[in-house]
Formats: sequence, C-alpha cells, structure tokens
Amino acid sequence: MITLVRALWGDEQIMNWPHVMRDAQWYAAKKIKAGEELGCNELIVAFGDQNFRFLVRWGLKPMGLDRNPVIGNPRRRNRKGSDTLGYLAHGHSIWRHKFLAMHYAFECGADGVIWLDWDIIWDVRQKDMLDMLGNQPAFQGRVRKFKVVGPRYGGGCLYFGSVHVLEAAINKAAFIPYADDQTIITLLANDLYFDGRNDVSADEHRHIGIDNPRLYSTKLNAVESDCKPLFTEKIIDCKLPRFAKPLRLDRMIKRSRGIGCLKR
Amino acid sequence: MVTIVRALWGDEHVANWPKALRDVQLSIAGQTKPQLEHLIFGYGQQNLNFLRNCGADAILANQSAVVDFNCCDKRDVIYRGPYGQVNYGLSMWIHKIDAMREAFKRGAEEILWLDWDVIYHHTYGGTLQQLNTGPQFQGRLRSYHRSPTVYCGACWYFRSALLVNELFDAMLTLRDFTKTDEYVATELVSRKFFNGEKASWERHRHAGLDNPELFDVRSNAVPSDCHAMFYKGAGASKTPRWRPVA
Repeated sequence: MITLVRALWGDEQIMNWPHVMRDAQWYAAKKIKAGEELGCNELIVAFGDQNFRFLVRWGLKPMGLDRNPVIGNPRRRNRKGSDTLGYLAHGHSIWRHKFLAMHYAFECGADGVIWLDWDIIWDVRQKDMLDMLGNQPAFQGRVRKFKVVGPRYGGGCLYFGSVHVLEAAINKAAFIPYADDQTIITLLANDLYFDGRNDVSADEHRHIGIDNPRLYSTKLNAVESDCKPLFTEKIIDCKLPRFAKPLRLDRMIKRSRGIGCLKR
Repeated sequence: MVTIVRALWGDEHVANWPKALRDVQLSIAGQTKPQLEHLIFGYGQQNLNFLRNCGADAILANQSAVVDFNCCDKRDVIYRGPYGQVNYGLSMWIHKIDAMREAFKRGAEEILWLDWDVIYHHTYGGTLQQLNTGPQFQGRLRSYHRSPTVYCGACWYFRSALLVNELFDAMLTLRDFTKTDEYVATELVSRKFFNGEKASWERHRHAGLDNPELFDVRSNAVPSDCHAMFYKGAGASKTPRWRPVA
C-alpha cells in the first residue's frame, strides 16, 4: 500500500521553520485528508520533541523519529551562518530529513511512498490515481523549470516505488552534502534512467514517465500538460521574507543597530 | 524620546506563535524603520535566540516562554479557543503589558508598543515628537463587527508608567474573564479620561486619545483622512481557525 509521508523538522535557527509550522497548521485545520479518501496510509514524522508536541497539539498523530530537531548534518558546526532563507546554516542537506522520513515509511511496511510538503494539497476530484503509479517507473515527480539552474524535479511531491531507489538518493545526498533535495533527485533520475547524462531535457523525462503530470503540478512546470494532477502546490502562506544579505553573526551586530536596546 | 517596544512570547502550544515568528522575520527584514530607540523583549530562551538570529538586539524578559503571571498554572488546561489563547486565559496578551512595564523600568520615558505586523509608513513626513503634546495614552479605536469598539492593541502610546501598571493590574484581575487586552485598555481609558462614563468615540477623538496620525487599522471607528505613521500590514496570512477542543 502507498503511504503519504509528511514531516516536520527544524528549530528556531532555521529561517523557514515558522513558515513550515504555519503550513502544518493549515494542513491540520483542513478537514479532508487525502489518505482517508484515497484509501492509503498517511504517515506524519516529527523530528525533535518540540515539533512532535506541536503536531500533537494541533490534532495530528505524528511518529517521533528522533529527539533532535535537526539530525545528520555534516555542517552542524557552522549553524551560526545562514543564507537568505536560512538553509545554509545546516548545509543544503537539511532536506535530507525528507528522505529519512520516507525511508522510515518503508521500514514501517509501505510498498511505495509519496512525499508531500505541507503546502501540497490533494485535489478532491482526483480519486483513482494511486493505482496507476505502481505500473510506472519506481521514481516519479514533476520537473520544474528554474531560471538559473535549469530543469529540476520539484521537491514538493515525490513518488518512490522502491526502497532501493530511495536509498540511492540517500547515498547520493551523503556524497553531495551541499546539494538540495531537488538537485539530488534530478541527479538520481539522470543516473537511473539516462546513464548519468546531465543534459537531459525535460521532454525526455516526460517521455519515459518519470515526469508525471497526473501526480503533481508545480508552479513552473517544465513541460505543460492538460492533465488534472492529484496534488497541487497551494500558496497557503505568504512567502518567507528575503533578507537583503546573508545573515551572519558578525553582520547581525551591524544590522541590529537601529533596533538595538535602549542606549543610556 | 519615544522608545518603540516589541516582544515575542509563546511556544509550540500557542496557535498563533508561528505567525508571530513569521511577522518577526518580515518586520526585521523590512528595510524601512523609524530612527528611534527600540527595546525588544524575548520571553524564553528560544524566542530570544530566534530574535537574535533574525538580527534583533533582544533582551531576555523572562526565562519562561509563557509566563504564569498570577500563578494559577493554567498551562495544563486542555480547552483552547480558535487561536489557542484560552489555554492560558485570554490574558495571554498580558505579556505585552509586561514588556511595556519592563521598558519603563529600563528608563524609557515614552513608549510606543508595536505588534510585529505593524509597519512604518516610510512616506510619513511628521515626527513622533508631537505625541508628547497629547494625552498620556494614545491609540486608535477599531470597530469590530460583533465585539464592542475598542482600542486596537497593535499600536499604543504610553507616557505614564503608572498607567501601564494599572493596566497590568487590571489584566491580572480580569484574567479569568473573557477580556482581551484591547477591552481592558479601553475600559481603563474610559475610567481615567472620562470618569468611567461611556464616552462617544468622537469624544475620544476630540480628546486626542484616538490619534489617526499615529496608526491606521482596517476598521477605524472614527474615519480620518490623516496620513498615519504606522499601519497594520498583512504580514503573514491569518492563523487558521480551530474548532475548540474540549
């Protein structure tokens, strides 16, 4: 049976943690849950006690995977530095939590997993999609076009039909700690289906079925489609504010002038 | 000299805490700020860390993220309102008053409380010095659809530590009742400036308590064409409503 997986990790040092918490609140506040309607399992994974309590408080039933809100981070020593969205504080490998949560779902007996970000919403009109996933490639997602880095798989919704494919992604993430989940997934798809070629066009991904427009629709689909997707990304919460410069402690001191404490 | 006071409190049990965190980020990331002294208080080490990570020079107001001011220990109450506030009594907003009290203790003479989603209007041409010539309390009356018209709690000006202390005491007294900080402040203002009489909102305006140049809310009780110095921004989207859980 397919398991829908969501996870919450992070702490006050991660810039988009409040954003994710609010997305999780919105998800919890919604009455319709895809798992109940689609007849599949839903697994919610919490990293850290505080995140666990947060999810429980808002009516969800998470599984605590680790007491630490941020785990397995090779750049842990550098948590004081952060990028405009804060993820560099932990290295880009902060997104590895996503893979670990999916792996936990396989350990719990799932035959296939669909990763869903908290802002990915099930389209209630689509009810007969999950059966077809098993007959298609063991990895499916949706290619999204980025201006700078080229086409990448959107990280909001991913399907893994095999634990071995997922483990290959985890291994890849371990070797490339500074790549985000979208890059890892794209490299993985290139390795698995295109012999490691890096110049694969989005059309080729679509052609062999790993770019699946019926599974998910992102904001900027690389290859357009008229299909009604099972899941879509909703703008639930407004975007995170972009900080003008990377936040580092030495710069923070300069930035804080003007919002400093009362000078006597 | 006016000192702007802001505070961050709450933890994972408070429904609008993530929204407050996001408003903090948006507020600090905003480029335009009035050139005034700021006092920023964090309740609990985590909130303090968060403020400092965002770049604010924050002060630890209390070790606890949610202070049990009158020691009735309501944190275990399982009932919650749509925004989670009933967990702690509606007087969870008492942290706001406590932060203002703390600002006066630290030497501030005039304070301006601002919620994190209150934004400085960068095109405003006036100065805050004119607040000094008005009454000791100034705010903006807001008319709600169902609740009575009250002073919006997002932006308050105080020039009297005594008044803030009275407000704090009133909040403690009314803790067990369904009174918000806005309601309590409005009652206090009526008592102080109108001898407890229920004055019309125009009289509040006339007395300078309802100051349209200070702040602009969405539903002003008494409209004005004045250009306000601060306005309530959209910030993060609203916190979702919850069905109360018994």
